[in-house]
Amino acid sequence: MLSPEAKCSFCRREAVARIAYAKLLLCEEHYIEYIRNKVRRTILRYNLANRGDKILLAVSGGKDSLTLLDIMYALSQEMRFSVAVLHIDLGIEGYSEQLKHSVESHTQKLGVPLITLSLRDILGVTLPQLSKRSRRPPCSVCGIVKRYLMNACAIESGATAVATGHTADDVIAYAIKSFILQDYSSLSKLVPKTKALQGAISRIRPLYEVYERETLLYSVLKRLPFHHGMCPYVVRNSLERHVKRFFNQIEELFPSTKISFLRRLAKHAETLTPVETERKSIRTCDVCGLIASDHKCSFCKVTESAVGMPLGREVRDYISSMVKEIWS
Amino acid sequence: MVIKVRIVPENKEVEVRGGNRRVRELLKELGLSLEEAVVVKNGRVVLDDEVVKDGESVEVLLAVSGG
Ligand SMILES: [Zn+2]
Ligand SMILES: [Zn+2]
Repeated sequence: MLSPEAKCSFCRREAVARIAYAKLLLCEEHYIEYIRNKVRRTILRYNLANRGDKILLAVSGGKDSLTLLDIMYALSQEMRFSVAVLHIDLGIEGYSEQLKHSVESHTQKLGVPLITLSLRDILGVTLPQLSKRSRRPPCSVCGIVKRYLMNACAIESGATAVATGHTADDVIAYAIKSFILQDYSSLSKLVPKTKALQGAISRIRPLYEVYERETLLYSVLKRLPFHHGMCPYVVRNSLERHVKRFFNQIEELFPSTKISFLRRLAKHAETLTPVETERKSIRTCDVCGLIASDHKCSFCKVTESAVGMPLGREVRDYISSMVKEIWS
Repeated sequence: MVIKVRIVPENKEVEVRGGNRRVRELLKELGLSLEEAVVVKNGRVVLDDEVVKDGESVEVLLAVSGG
């Protein structure tokens, strides 16, 4: 049975996407609308954004975060919240330049305010140097630095939440990894929205139910200037990667498994927190005042071991001088 | 003749022999699930049951880019 021209389930134009879990074939226009609707429903279902909110979008320049930007911009107009973009330039040679260019190009096109924080400017060192000098693996330092700068930038700018481009596949991979490692406190954090705590802004994941293949197709069809490259430090043989591939096979055999998984995870995750032991260990950093699990936060520790002093406080002041009036 | 496949972002070129086949079969031979790739032929996204003919070239864009 040859089907040279499969038709869109809504308008009979040529289909470019099959949504197996919804039993739909979609044309370009209806696919884009479908994904946007999916994000809108996630926002409403989990109360991720309200009228008047100021949402800082963390955008790296890859397909997921550019999709986040493109859709959140469209929804901000309709749902009446504000968006601004934070891009972190890690200074990885032959990689960061292209990502930065992707972000600049799309924020400019949409007219969204952009804050670029370059590690070289704020710390005097790039990510690879920071990793080498602190003697920690690049991916672990990268995670610490990104989380810190997102949080600091949101707090200094007066944002109500930070949005990241984590997809359904990312969340599922972390969840299964946490389960494999029997790390229930990590599992409990994999919700669409984390609550604000002392020294920590609320984080939201609007692409919680959007598949990675869907952000790729969205980016391709909308011709977003995403950088489709791999970080030179990426670990090819990571547990997450294997889990992602495994779950994609499951989804192909049993469409909608990912969505069912996430709906239940969102419902049960927070009850998994061993409340007494975990919550008590959350405090604020003596140096910078942001959230920490110890007397110093991880960012202050890493910068201290790399450049000789904890830089959290200075970095917060620097950011504060940069983000004035970005929401106006 | 062969089907020429370029895998992005790995920038790997693969040649597949054995004549026409559907996109889903091509991906299976490359060890990929339908959930982890988007296939583009002549600048156009193609569905999983479309046929790629012997002698044609396609690009396979990977969705799982790690990180
Ligand atoms: Zn249509
Ligand atoms: Zn600190």
